[in-house]
Amino acid sequence: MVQFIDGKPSRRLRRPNRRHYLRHITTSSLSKGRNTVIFDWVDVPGDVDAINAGQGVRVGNTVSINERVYGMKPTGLLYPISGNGFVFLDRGAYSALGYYNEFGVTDLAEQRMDRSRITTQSRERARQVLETGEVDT
Amino acid sequence: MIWEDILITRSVSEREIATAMAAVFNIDQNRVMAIPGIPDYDGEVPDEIGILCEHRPVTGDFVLHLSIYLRDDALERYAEAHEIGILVGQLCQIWSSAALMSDDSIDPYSWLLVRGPDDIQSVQIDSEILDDDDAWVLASVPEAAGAHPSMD
Repeated sequence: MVQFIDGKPSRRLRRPNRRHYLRHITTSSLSKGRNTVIFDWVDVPGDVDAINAGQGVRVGNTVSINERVYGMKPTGLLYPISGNGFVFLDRGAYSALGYYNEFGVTDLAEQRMDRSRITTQSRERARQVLETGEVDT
Repeated sequence: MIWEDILITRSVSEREIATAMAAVFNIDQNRVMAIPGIPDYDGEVPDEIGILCEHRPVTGDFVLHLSIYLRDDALERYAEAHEIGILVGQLCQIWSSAALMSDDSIDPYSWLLVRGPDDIQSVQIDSEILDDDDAWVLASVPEAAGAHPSMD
């Protein structure tokens, strides 16, 4: 576990890998049952700098900053959990997002998802996330 | 619907995938289709196919990524009636392989290592190797709970 001394982490925390960003999800991405992805507009480097400067609020293995909660690995690596600009996706929606990122919101994407029987609800959720993620909310 | 994404330690053939899926889901082998992962494959999938399994190579302790899709209601009901870990464990037994499957956590580096229906254990993936090299390597290998495939 990363220790915090006077509000500052004892080792420099590092930003989440780009695999966690909305636009980097593809059909090759390995989904979990529960996934959190990051909207492109989130100032993750700013969050990480603020946390390293002692402005985050640590609870157990998580740290909060700017209405976002990050998980912390013992190595100092951060990953997204929840909050403003982070979005939760179940396996189906995460999978659908991979198709849309790879093929666009196109007939081809829909055909590929028909083949895999990706549900209408999963597709709608992925499209909703893509549309929401295009603007700073 | 997508049923599960798993990584396995053995490079099984498409025939082995079909044979094992058919046995575990109790359907005819002709109703299982294994194909290379999108976008490599753009062929048709016949309506009678009940399980579609896409396979892609990965590196690290695991060699194949399998995305498993169930294409009819009866198979979805069958899957819902059974523990996922047990079904994946049965696949592992047939393939003489170990598998990495999702746990319930939001932590992207926390997974379950499955080496059989009675050997399902929490593991951590080495986050630095995954992020730097895109390779799936276990941070540590738990002792096997039974006489199951090793991680070698």
